Amino acid sequence: MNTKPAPDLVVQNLSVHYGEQVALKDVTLQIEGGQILALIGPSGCGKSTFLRVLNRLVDRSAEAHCTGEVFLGDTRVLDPKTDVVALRRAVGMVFQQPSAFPFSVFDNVAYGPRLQGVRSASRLRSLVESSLKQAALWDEVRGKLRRPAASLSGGQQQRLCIARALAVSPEVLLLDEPTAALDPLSTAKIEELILALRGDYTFVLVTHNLQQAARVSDVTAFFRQGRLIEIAPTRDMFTAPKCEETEEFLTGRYE
Amino acid sequence: MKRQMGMGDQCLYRVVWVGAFSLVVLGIAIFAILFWGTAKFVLAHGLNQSLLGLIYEPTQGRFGLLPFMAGSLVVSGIALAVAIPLALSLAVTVVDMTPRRTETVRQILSGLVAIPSVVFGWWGLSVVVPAIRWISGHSGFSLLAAGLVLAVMILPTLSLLSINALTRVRVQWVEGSLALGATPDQTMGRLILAVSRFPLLEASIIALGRALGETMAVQMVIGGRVLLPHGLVSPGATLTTQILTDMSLLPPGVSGHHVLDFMALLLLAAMYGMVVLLERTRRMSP
Amino acid sequence: MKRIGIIGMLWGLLIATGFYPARGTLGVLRVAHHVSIVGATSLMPLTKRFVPEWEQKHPGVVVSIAAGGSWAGILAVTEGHADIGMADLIPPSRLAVRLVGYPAGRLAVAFIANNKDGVKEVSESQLMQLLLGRIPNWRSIGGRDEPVIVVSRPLSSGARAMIDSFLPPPGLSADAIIQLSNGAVLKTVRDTPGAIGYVEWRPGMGGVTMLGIGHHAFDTTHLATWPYFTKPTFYVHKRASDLVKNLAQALSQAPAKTDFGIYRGHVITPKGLP
Repeated sequence: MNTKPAPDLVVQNLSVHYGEQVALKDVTLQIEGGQILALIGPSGCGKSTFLRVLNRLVDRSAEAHCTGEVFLGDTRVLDPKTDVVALRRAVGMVFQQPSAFPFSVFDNVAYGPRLQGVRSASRLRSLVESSLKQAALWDEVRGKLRRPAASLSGGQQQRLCIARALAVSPEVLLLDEPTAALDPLSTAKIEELILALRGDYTFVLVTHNLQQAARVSDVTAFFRQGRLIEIAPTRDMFTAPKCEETEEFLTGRYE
Repeated sequence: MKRQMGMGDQCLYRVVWVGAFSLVVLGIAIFAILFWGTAKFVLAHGLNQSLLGLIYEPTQGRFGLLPFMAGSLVVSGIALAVAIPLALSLAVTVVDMTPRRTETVRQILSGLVAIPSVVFGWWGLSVVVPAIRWISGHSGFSLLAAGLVLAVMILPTLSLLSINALTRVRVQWVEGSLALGATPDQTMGRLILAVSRFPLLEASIIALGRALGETMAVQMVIGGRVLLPHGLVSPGATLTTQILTDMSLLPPGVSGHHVLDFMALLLLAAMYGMVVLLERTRRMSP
Repeated sequence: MKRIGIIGMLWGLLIATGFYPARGTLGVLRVAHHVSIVGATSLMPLTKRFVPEWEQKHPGVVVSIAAGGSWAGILAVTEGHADIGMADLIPPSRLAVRLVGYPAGRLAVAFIANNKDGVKEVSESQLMQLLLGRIPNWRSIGGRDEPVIVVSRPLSSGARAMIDSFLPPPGLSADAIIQLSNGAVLKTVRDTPGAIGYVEWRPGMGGVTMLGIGHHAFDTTHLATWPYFTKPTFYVHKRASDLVKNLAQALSQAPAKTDFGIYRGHVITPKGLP
C-alpha cells in the first residue's frame, strides 16, 4: 500500500516542559525505518508526551514547550516552519480509548481522504476497502459500511481507527496503548495486525502491557520520570537489561 | 430512630411525587382549557373568519388570525436568522480558548441571559427603531425591529447552549481528527459541527421557543398593526402581542373572548410541533 | 390518613388558585375586608397615590389595584370579579343599568404631532382625515414633506373609544401603530417624524406639538372649554357595600386629581359623545 519507505526516527536531546513541570528531559534515541519501537514505563513517565511530540499534538497544550531535535526522515518535526498538517498526514495515530467518530464505518475511514480533497465516490470506496482490508476488518464489516461505527465492538472500533489512520497513507504509526481497553482476543488481533504491517511503517507503540512489548516490538525504550533510562533491542532488554532500574520495573518491583 | 428516618424519607418522596404529578395535571389542564375555548370559538365563528381570515376586527366579529401567524413566523425567523450565525461564530471562537477564558465567557453570557426582556424592549425602542426609521424612511416600528430585538435577546441563551454543545464533543474525536491531518477549520466544520448538529438544532429550537413566546419586548417595537404585513419594515403584530393587546378588550364573557384561547393554542401547537420534529430527526440520526 | 391529608391540601390549593376565577387577587387568600380595583391605566396613578391614605383611615381593609383597561374594569365590576372599575369610557346601557358611577371630572384628549411635522393646527375635518389615514403626507396640509404615521391606543382603551365614536366608518386608520399606554404613544410620537397621535393629557407632557383643532387652541390653563375629553369614572356594582361605595366616591373626589390632569369642565356639547 505504502509506496514511500518508512522513515527513520531520530530524537536528539528532546525536552518538554508544561509550564514549570518537566515532562521529558534530554531524550536521545534512534530507530530505523520500518521498525517497531515500544515505549514502556510507569504512569506519568512521559511516554505519551513523547508520542504527542512526534505528531505535534503536544501543541494543543498552550503551556507546552519543546527543545531539542526530532527527525522523521528528513522532516524536522519541531521546526516552527514545518507544516503540521502535512506532518500529521504522514504520522497516523491511534488512541487508547477507541476514538471512532460518531459517523458510519465508511465515513470514519473516508474522513482522512476527504480532508485531502478526494471526492470521487469510486476512489473513496476503493480506499476504504483497501484500508479496511489492511486493518483486517474488511471481512467483518463488508456490507455494514453504512452502520454507525458505535455499533462495532471495542476491538473492531480500534481496528477501524487503525484503518482510518492507514487511509491517508502515513509513513509512521503512533499507537497510544491501543489495547488497554480491550479483551485478550481483540488484543491478540491488534497485535497480529501490527506484526502484519511491520516493515511498511515505522511504529511507535506505547504500552502498559510488558508482554505486548516483548511480543511485538523490535526495540524497547524504558522511560521513568521523563528520562529515557534504557533503550535496547527488545530481546536484549527483556533477557538482560543493563540498568538496575529497568530490571526492577520488568520484574514488577514497582509500578 | 430508623423508623423515623424512613417516615421522613417517605414524606419527602410523597411531596416530590405530588409536585411532579401536579405539574403534569397543570399542563394537561392548560391544554384542555385552551382546547375547550378554541372549540367554543370555532363553533361560534367558524374557521373562515378566524384561522384563515385576513381581517381582524374583534368588535365587528371578524377574527382573522393570519396576520398574527405571519407576524410570529417572520419575527422569529428574522431572530433565528440573525442569532444563529452570531451564536455559532461565538461558540466556534470560544471552543478554541483556554478553559479559564471559556468559563469567563460563560459567566458573562449567563449574566446576559438574566436580563429581563423589557430591557431589551427598551433598548429596541431607543436604538433599533430609530435606526430602522433612519435607514428605511418608515416609522421604524416593524417586524424587522422586533426580529432584531429578539435576536439580541436570544443570543446569550443560544450562544451558551451552542458553546455547551461544542465543548461536549469528545477530546479523542478532536485529536483523532487533528491526527489525521485535519486543519483546525476542517476539524471544526467536518467533525465538531457535524457531531453537534443535533444539540445545536435543539438549542435553536429552545431559542425559537423563547422568540415565539416573547411578548413585552416585541410589543414595544413591533407597532401593533393588525393588517397582514407587506414587508419587513412594515409594522405588524404577533400572536403573543395581540393576546396582550386584546386581553382587556376581550375579557371572559365577551363574545370573541375565546379567540385568545385560539391564539394561545396555536402557539402551543407550534411549539409542540417543533418538539415532535426534533424528536423525529433525533431518532433518524445515527 | 396523613398522606391523603397532605395530597388533598395541595390539590385543594392548586384547584383553588388555578381554577377559581380570580377575585381581586388570590381566590383563597381573601382578607375579611378586601377591595379590588381594576381598570383604566389613565386612572392608575391617581388611585395608587390616593389608596394608601384611605387605607390608613380604614384599618383592616386591604385594597388591591390592577391595570387592564377601561373595558376590563367595567366588565370585572358587572361580573363581580372586582369591586371598583376605573373607566374613561361610557358603559353600554345593558351594563350601565347594573352600575353606579362616580365621575371624577374630565381628562383632556390632546392631539399630538411630532415637532418636525411642521403643522401647529388643523381643522376638525383635517384631523378626521388624518386619523382615518386619508392624508398620506403632511405636505398636503401645509406641513413638511413627511409621510403621516398614525399612532393609536388599542381598542380596549377609553381614549380610543372616544376617538372611534367621532370618526365615521371605517374608523381609525388600520395602518395605525398601536401602543399600549398613554406614555408609549407620547414617546412614539415625540420620536417619530410624521407621527400624529392622541393622549389623555396630564401635566408634564411635552416634547410634541399639541395640535390646535379648528378655533380651539390646546391651552392647558383653559382646558375647561377644550371639546375633546373623556370622563374618567369609578364604577361600582349597584349592590356594592357602603365601604366600596365610600372608597369609589372618595377616589372620584380626591384632591390630588388635578395633579393627574383631571379637571371640571364647562357644560359644553362634547364632541363625539351623546
